[in-house]
Amino acid sequence: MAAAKLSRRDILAASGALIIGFWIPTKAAGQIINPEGAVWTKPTANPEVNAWVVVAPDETVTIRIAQTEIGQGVWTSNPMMVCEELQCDWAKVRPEYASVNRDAREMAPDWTLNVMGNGGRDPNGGGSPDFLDRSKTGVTGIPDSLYRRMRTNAAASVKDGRYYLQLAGAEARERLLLAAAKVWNVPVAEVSSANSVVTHKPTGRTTTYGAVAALAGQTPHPNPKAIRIKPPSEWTLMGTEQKNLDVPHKVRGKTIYGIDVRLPGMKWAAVKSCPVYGGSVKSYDFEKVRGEPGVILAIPFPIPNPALIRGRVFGGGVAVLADTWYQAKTAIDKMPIEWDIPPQNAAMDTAKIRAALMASLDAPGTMRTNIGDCDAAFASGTRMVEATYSVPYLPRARMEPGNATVLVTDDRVDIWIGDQSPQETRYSASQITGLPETSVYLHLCHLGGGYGRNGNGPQAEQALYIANKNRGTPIHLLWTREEDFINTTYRSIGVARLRAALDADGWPIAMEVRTAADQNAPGPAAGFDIAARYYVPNYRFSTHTAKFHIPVGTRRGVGAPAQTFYRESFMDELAHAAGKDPYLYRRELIQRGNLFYKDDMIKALDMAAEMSNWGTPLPQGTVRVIALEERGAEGDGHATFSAQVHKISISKQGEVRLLRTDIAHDEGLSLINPLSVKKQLEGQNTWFLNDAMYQESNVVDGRMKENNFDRFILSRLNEHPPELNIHFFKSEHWLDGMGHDRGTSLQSGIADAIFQVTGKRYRDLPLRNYDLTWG
Amino acid sequence: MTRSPRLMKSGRHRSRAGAHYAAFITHAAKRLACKTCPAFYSISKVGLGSGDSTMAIDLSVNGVRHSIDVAPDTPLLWVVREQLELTGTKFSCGIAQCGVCTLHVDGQAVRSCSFPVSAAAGRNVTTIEGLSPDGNHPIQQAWISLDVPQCGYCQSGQIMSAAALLTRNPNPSDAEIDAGMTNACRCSTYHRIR
Repeated sequence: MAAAKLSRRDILAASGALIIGFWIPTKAAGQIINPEGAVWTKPTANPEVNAWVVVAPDETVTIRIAQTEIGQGVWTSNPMMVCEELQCDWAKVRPEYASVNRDAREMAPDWTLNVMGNGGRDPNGGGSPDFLDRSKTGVTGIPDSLYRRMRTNAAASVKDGRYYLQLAGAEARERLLLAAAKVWNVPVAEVSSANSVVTHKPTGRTTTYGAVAALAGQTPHPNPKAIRIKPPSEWTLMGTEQKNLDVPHKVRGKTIYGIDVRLPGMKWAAVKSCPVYGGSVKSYDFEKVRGEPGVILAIPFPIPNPALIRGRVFGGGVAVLADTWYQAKTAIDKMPIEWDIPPQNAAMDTAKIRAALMASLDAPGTMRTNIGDCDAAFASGTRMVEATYSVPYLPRARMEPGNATVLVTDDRVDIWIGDQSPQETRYSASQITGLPETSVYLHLCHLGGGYGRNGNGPQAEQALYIANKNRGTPIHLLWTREEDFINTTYRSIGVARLRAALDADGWPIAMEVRTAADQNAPGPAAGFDIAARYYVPNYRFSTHTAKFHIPVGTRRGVGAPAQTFYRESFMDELAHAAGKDPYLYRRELIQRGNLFYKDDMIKALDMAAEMSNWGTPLPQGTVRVIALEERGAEGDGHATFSAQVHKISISKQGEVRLLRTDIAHDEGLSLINPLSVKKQLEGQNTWFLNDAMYQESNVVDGRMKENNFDRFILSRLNEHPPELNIHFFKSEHWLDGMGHDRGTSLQSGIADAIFQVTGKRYRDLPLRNYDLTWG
Repeated sequence: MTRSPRLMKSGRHRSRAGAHYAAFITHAAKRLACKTCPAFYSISKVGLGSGDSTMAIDLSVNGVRHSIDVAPDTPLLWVVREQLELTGTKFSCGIAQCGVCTLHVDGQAVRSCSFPVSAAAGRNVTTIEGLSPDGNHPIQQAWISLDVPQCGYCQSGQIMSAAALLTRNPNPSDAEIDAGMTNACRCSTYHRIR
């Protein structure tokens, strides 16, 4: 009955639309509707040079990018990598999202499949990008589809995308040169290009990319596998600070985010999902709200098929459709809903979960690293230091609530969405609708923040389910903030127990690390595995898990934030126990070790200490703290190192103020866009200040208590440090990303500042839960 | 069923910023003439509330007068986004905490997600789209020159807050900036905002 009602209304909509001859739902809607500020692929009359590059006769260069802009700057850095090799005029570059549909239809060209060079330390090569299996629901993308990795994750857009973006630009450049040579009937070796202008060197004749682009598109390169990419020493654009290309639209309110998508005949869906994970709708009484303004129907949706969302369990729920979202939201708020909640889930709370994790620390875990003989050292009767730390569940809480606009017809699916994993969403769409992936069209939007969020659904799955039951009507599903907190995966709660035996001088002779988190928590080994970052002759690291009903997933930094908090906090405690300076204590232990990158770690610590005037006197109640941030320290490939010093004051009333941050940061063989890197470092300062001081998600009666920004606290401008300095140092490896696990030092740092000033050691985040007064 | 005449998404007043969609609306079944707009545009009785509870509310948005039939307790945010299709003003918390929905009512910064449209009756509303005629308000220029936005979602609200602050205090101290700029930014662009 409900469906019949919808169709009556939509006949009205469709007939109206057909009168004006503009809206034809069975056609590629996303290619028709392109308001200013939309960033999705537009149809172009101009032939492409290759799948990444289109040069128009007016010299505009369209560069297609396969990662999603979530604020990290790929909208600019990805085109920079193509433009560098293409040697086109940067001022003429316009990015657009690569077609997710085309990615389903075409395989990657052969010449993109080989990564040239010798891995993470070869300046002439493409590094060591991660391309794993061809899993449609996997993490790293589909390695042999046209655009390969379309996922935006793990701060890896440069690490995993650079070589083929440079190659794409280089291949297009070579074809443009071939085309110009063909026009002039000269050997290609006699032509070169710069800034979109092609020159025949012997005669000085010139032409432009725009003039030869059409011919270039029909001129295959005879041996594309022989094309090499430029090393940093030859870069002219990459490595320079470039303003982000999407900023002018963003400051004028013109950028079309997913929430801003409007289609003719579109209906809005407001949603209520079971607030306890694993629960579903028992009943709802639509009759109570049927007469509300604008309301069309209610439709239940099941718990999303775990196969579509990589096994994570969410709740089922119900949606109300209306003409406007506010009507739908007002109605669903009034609609009585009863939930069917698994009693074992409803019985869970944070204390029980934490107790289970603590118990798991004493059970056998997974031994990750075991060097020497810790037990013998612990039994030797030397001084022992032991500490137990914990971190809470945490959501990403991006500012744009989850949303997706979906139109399903009998022959295609169109989805407008900001999405960090469009290949997976394409797969979900195919599974839910029964249409092939080649009939799924994603029109990607910029995201109002990501932080790991949109790779985890299920906003697309919910909207797909509803739209599939209402084929022909575009459905825009939008979560309230409260629903956004329900329909998310969380960074797992975690606990850790670290023990060390110290020699008479206070240096560790044995250290054991046990961590525990949800069994599905990603990144459990970061920061501790393979080898101790700080030298200790006997070292043991094991991970322990338990199973809970709260769905966990990737959040900014994945495993690194929690584990850096444990590790660096413990180093502070050891340094204090030894009566040594925390900077010099760390430096000495790295120096004693034999990690491949130990010189870079020492460089970072030394530079940060020097920047901060480490050791100079400070007023009472103000201290400096230091910590190392590393990624890849255990190996000899891609890696990123930084050290940060934070100057922190704590008033006698217990008010914590971050006064200054000094960041010494690895730039590897080269950064791509240093301006974006600085912005990411500035942003992560606040991110981890919040993790340290404020943010937590507590389970009460099986559900998350903090469900809006009144209880879930975001710091404001007044808490950003008035002084923040960033210096870079050169190193001889390619970076392993820096967009998600920098600034983690604020967690151990603030905890240690509190200890230094107040004498109180708190080991459970967030720290606002404690009495920080002193004196 | 007794309901006020409701239309599809069609019969709705169009401001300039909504002109991309103007083609969709010409099939509207019922309209009221809008007193102040070009004849092509129209304004409908379509509102967010029920027939009994809606009322015509006159307000000026970005210099254009509108008369909108709507339940008076509807948040101004949703009138701006849904009725007027000015989507530069964003939604995030719905409880006036985060400030992404900040716009101006008579020059004052207001969190529109919790500001009833009835309170804007007869007043001048300015959204990011109307902050300056050409999108080059000094704050927008400064934001571009400092490359402030990351994801950008909160920036309409940040800019509107900054514009209101500088209008009432052209040379704010750091403490006054702290007190005047209380919108949340999850990417933390605070460093460049200051």
